[in-house]
Amino acid sequence: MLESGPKTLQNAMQVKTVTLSNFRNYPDVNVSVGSGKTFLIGENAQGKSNFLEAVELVSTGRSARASQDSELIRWGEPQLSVQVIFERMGVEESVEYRLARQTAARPGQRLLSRQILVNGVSYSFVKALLGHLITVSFQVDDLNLLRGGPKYRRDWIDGVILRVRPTFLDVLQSFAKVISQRNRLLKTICEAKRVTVSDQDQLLAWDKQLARFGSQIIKERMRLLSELLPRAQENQSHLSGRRESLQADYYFKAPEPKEDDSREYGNGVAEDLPPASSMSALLEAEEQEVAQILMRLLKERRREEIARKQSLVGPHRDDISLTLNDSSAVTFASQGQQRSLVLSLKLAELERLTESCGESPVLLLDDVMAELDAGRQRLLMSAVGDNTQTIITTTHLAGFEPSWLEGATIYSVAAGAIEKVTL
Amino acid sequence: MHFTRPLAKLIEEFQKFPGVGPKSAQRMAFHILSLSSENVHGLASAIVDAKDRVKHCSRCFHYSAQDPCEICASDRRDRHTICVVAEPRDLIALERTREYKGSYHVLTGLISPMEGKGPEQLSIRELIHRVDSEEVKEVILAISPTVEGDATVLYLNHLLKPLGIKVTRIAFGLPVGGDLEYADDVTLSRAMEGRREI
Ligand SMILES: Nc1ncnc2c1ncn2[C@@H]1O[C@H](COP(=O)(O)OP(=O)(O)OP(=O)(O)O)[C@@H](O)[C@H]1O
Ligand SMILES: [Mg+2]
Ligand SMILES: [Zn+2]
Repeated sequence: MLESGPKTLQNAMQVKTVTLSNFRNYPDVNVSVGSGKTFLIGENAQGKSNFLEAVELVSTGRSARASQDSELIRWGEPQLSVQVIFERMGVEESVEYRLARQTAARPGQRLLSRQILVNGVSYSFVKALLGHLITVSFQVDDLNLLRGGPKYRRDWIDGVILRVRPTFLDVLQSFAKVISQRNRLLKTICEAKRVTVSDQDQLLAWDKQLARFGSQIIKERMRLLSELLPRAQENQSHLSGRRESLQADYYFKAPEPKEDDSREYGNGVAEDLPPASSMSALLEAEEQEVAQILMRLLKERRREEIARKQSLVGPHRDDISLTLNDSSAVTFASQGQQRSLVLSLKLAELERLTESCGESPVLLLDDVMAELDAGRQRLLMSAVGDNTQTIITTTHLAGFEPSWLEGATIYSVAAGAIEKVTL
Repeated sequence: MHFTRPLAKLIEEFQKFPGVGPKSAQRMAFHILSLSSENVHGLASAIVDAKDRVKHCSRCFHYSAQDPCEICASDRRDRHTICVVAEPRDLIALERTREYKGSYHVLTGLISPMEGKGPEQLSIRELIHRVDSEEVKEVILAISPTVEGDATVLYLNHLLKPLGIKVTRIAFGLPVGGDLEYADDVTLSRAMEGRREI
């Protein structure tokens, strides 16, 4: 091969090769990723986002956009595999995700078997992947951090925590289980139209569990948000020529009732209703205190919870509010300001993860450059510097500042095939 | 793949067993076909016989063909201590250690609203009755630290505490040979709480 010998980045995690087999629209590809910037250029619907999705899959253990894992397997094929070989702290590691359709006993039944390989050791649980290859993704969808419902903001912050501390997954999963169980109990009680003593005792047991895991989640989110905030503030201030000041707060009692149609509802509502408790008040509080507040809120809203057959108190209803110069960023910020704000937050994420990894994580930019003007591109560029491996998808190279293309590795993507391009 | 009807039916039945997938179900079915008719009848009657004769002990709810069960009937068992477990298989696991000399109480499950299991579906009322009437001094909860297990423990503790007896829960730690890196947070923090000087 006549490639210029791969130079190694200093202090950066580095993907070496990505091998896909029957993943989405890829029958079989093996791509060596450049040490600096790698561009994937292609028309729409050729597989650019699919490629980044595969890298994210072995990094986070899940796909953010697939509604069902079976979607990931190439149509008509029995199984997929994604393997990424990468270097972390100078040591080569390998992560692999395999998913196979299983012959089901009954027609219509869909069974999948999953196998995870981390450095050759096999695991049946996705959690084994966490904490190895660390990535940060920028997507057009990131604007949902401002425009979307509270769930986007919660998932975002949880996603960052999981990359800092993978065992947080256990807390999230236990909490989710508690909520499902508790909601079912509320439903049973509501339908029985009376609350027995035994029901009350049982609810109390579930309340304690909700408060225990819930307070852990709330504390963890507050801690992380308080770490991200100064970095995001600095970025925002820089992008706005020191004219805009960003504030964020964690609201741990979501404003009622619009929560259900989360798409319509932005965080502007948080202003109408004073929060039961917010980060500024509780950052220093012990987990125990937060748990006590949750217990109190649960007691206050018991009647309503039973009537609505839903757990209304807890981190699954919380929100993060974002304000620029003291007014809600959702309601009042211009499109450009919103783009800057999202960029500021995402760069804060990158910086925070760089700190916890001890080196820069791999950056995945899916079609986002078109969205950024020259000033924002430059900020991103300076954050990325020469010391972050970056994989960038785009439909065309026009619009990129020339500095982005220097020394870049370029591939074309067409219908699930990837080929090297020399400019 | 096509199986003749009775064979397909047998495979289907085996597949309903916990932990049995399509492949093992097939292997088991083929194994049955390879047995002598006598052996198969022996197996079938063993199944029916066990189902007909093994019942829950009326006192501790363990499986037994006699009532009270062998453990409850033994006079070498300390009746002042009751060890509460979720399932008969947990009791058997504890018995294997030969460490414990008290009596047992099998809850026949854990609280789990999603599976339609509330306190009424478990043998909780009977447990409280035993504690009330049998001069019990200590109740040991040998219940796994899952979300459902913890809910059951919290519920039981709420009922047992006012009765003025000692309520303890067995310690959970890391599995021997388990990988510390992948032990979950909950297990780890429990293992920390239950640590001992060496
Ligand atoms: N399981 C699958 N098997 C085969 N093809 C699939 C599968 N899942 C998705 N695809 C195909 O992948 C293509 C989408 O790829 P992708 O989202 O990566 O496009 P893209 O190159 O990012 O396009 P755009 O520029 O529009 O974002 C679609 O044509 C879709 O039909
Ligand atoms: Mg795309
Ligand atoms: Zn008995």
